[in-house]
Amino acid sequence: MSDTEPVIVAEDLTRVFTTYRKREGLLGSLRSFIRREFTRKTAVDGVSFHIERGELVGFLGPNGAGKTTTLKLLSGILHPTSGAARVLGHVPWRRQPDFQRRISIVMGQKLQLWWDLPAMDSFVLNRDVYQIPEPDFRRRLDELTSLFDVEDLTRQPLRKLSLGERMKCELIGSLLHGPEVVFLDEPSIGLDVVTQKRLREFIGEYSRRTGVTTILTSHYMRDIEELCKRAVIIDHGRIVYDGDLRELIQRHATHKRIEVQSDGIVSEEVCRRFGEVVECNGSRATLRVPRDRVPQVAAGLLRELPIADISILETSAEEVIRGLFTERGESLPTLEGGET
Amino acid sequence: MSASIAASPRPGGLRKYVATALVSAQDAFAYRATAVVWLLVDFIPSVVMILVWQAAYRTHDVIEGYNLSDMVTYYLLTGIIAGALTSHAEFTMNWEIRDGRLTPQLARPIFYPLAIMCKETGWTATKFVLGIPVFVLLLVLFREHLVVPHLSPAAWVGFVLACALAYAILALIGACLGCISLWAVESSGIFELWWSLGGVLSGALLPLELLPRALRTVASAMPHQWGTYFPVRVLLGKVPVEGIYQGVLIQLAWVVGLSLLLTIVWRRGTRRFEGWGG
Repeated sequence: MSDTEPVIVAEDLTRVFTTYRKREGLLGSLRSFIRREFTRKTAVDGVSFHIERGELVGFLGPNGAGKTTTLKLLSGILHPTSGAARVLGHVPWRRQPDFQRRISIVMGQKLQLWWDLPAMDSFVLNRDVYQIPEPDFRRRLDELTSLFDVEDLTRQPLRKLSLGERMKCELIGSLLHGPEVVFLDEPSIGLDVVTQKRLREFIGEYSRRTGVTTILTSHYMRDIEELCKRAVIIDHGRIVYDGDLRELIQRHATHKRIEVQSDGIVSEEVCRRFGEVVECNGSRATLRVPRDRVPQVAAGLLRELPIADISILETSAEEVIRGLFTERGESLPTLEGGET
Repeated sequence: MSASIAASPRPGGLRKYVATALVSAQDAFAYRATAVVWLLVDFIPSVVMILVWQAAYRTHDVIEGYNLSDMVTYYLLTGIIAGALTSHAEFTMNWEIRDGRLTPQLARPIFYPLAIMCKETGWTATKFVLGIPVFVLLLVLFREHLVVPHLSPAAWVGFVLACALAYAILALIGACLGCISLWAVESSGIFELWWSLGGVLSGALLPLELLPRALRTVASAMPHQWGTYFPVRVLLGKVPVEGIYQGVLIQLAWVVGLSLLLTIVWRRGTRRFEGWGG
């Protein structure tokens, strides 16, 4: 691999899955037993992109869009139906040990550490699996456990740890060999808001310190918004946007929010005269206003209402992306992970 | 061994597999009660057969060249050696494939079927050690019927080799069966069928000499008898030394053949693997 070649190259990557379809009910079961029906689903459909060394790229898209399948192809777990890819100069699905020692994949819903043993036992096993020299292993272990603040937890059986603690241990286990490319597939899934934030801080800090190339998929828009400069948005297996996340937000954020806190009750009818009412609850109201009308609307509100406080907010990335998918008739998860 | 197994990338590449077996042994200790129960499940058929034959020998002194002591010793040794040599990689692989645990393993620098065989080795060894009191108790209970084997040093060496290769054969069969789960997600029925047939063809149910000729012909073409049955017959002194080493060569041929088969089915299976769930 030359120094100028991107770390990750995907060219027209396609993966088709064959699924067995069963008709409903007992009769359907019998029919399916005699004659099986199969359907083909294109999970990844001609995906192409390049990722340079040290980039932290966010993959976004609704459930079933093809994010995880793309990650599985790039990490060599799956063979593609067609197309090509090179990661660190290797064809991933050849699964060469020299390649596998340089990458790591963390799947938020798939534990890789041993459930009944302390995480430390799994870490020591990883040392042997990845052939990590002992001094490097000890140094990285100390760095990672202190960065994650889990020094005391690695000696307890994994099953006794909380979900957040387990995920921290998973991340440590996957980083001990010092991978050059890390695939993070929903690492914060199921975690509470505080732990999600800590995990984000850890990923950001680790990325800055080591310059590792990272692809992150997450259900939580905040993960992507805070960590990734570049976003790749996938829908129905195809890339619908690949570029700067801020640029995307600016291009699609045609509105701003104005939040007001009044000394008295705010009438929804009055608010409607100024813009689209997002929320109107007693003395508080939130309005969605076109960017170019914000100064006039703010002045009008201050003139006509007994305002105690007023805030003008940018549209969040989540709203922009959700708007993008709503236009396409799709749904995207919310900030906290529930489907919208 | 197969190309994939043999292709250790650097000196010390096999250390990861030894480490896997050791971690698995620790894991088995966490489930020691379960390990003992599984050992009993494997051993109970031998004890039942001893009780059945004791009833049969009330009216006969010798059946097909076996007297009661031969038969009791045969079943006790079969139970103990099966406990030491039988692993069940197929059930672990089936569970890990169904549960999606295989998915991230495919991105690790390991040959997964070999790692699973080592994992099972850790379990089997722990299970065997935990079962030693049970074996001692049974040997004491049936001591009056036990025939103590008298083997030459060459036969003892042959016995050790036969046990090692028998272990490899049984582990490889388990891994090959486990690969079926890459095609058929629920394949435990196939495993049960295989091992049920294996009960007959491996001599666990009856010494093979007592089977009808047709079944003996089938058994001679299958790998089962080179698992537990061959080492047991060696230990009972029923195989001459030259026969032991011929048998070891046949076992070696099975190990090579099964390794090749495993490499092929694994490559094909993972090529079409869909990594279900998440």
